[in-house]
Amino acid sequence: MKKIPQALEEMLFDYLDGTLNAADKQRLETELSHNPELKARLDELQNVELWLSKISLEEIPSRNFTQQVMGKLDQYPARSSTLISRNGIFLLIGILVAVGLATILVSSGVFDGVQTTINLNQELPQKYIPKNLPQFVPKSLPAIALSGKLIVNIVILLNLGLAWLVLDRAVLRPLFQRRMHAGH
Amino acid sequence: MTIPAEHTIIDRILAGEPSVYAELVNKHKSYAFTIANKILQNRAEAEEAAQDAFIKAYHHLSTFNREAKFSTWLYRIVFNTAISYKRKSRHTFQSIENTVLEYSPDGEGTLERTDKRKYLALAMARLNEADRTALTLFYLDELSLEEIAEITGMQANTAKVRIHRARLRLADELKLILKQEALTL
Repeated sequence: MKKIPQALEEMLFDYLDGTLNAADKQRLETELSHNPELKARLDELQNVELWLSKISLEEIPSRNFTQQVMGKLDQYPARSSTLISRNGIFLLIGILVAVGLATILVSSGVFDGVQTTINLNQELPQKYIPKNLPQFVPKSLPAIALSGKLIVNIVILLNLGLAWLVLDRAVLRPLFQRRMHAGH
Repeated sequence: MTIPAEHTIIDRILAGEPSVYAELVNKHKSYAFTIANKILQNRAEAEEAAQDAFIKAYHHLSTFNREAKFSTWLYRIVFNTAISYKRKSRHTFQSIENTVLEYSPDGEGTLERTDKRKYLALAMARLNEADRTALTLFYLDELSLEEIAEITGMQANTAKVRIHRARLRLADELKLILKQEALTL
């Protein structure tokens, strides 16, 4: 069986929904009269649509749905936010433990001997230098010395910033929101 | 309930009459539950997600833009809440991939409505979550493509293409389930 192009197949729905413009409708009807596979597909889709039109997709919740909602209106934030808060608190604890460990290691001098230098004066391979640039003189760039202690200190600072953000989102905001709603 | 009537209810709630919110819940609970259930495929979770969405909507009623439809705004909250439940859910849903269905045409060649509903649910469950939700919103027959796009956070054109393709997939799934003969009811 010849495969029907997807665009043409999708056009069948516009045809069934009556949203196809006159020119496309004419074109499709001509195609349908010459293409038995397309006609068969249209019949198939039409049957499904007819089938669906007789079935309501609407589902009914439990009888006490409204009562439960009304009974929980004062419980805010809802369950999902509580879960977010709980996850946030775990994240906060994790960050603080990591920061604490890193601080202990830095203060005990573990990273004092770790040194590295970033050399920016790497020579470019000859193939990357344009041939029509004979006077290409590389400029001398400074080498950057980095100590392990400095890097860990930066990481600790970044983590403290993240911890503050998590504290704000997971603890302080929900707390103040709850107080605000309790005050109403 | 007309749109101005809904706005009057919202005004009354905001003025300190929370009990009238029950009217809005009663009106929209079935659709809200249906959307949540199509995403979560679990009635208990869907009920909880839909209730959560109504509670969220209640607490954010003051931010509702009166130029929009309340139902569209609410269903977007339901959609997002259900998606968020889905991500957090640790349930392992019953797989229907290996479910075997035997097609046995009855004497008159027609399926009972309950059977149709069952087969449709099965075909829907075989679609991916985005297709299932888009189709549900489409066939609930109240929402325009623009509204469906707004609820699901898609562009209108993307929503249209998704719905068309989902309808094709649904037709194919139903065909697989019922075999070609059943579609000629």
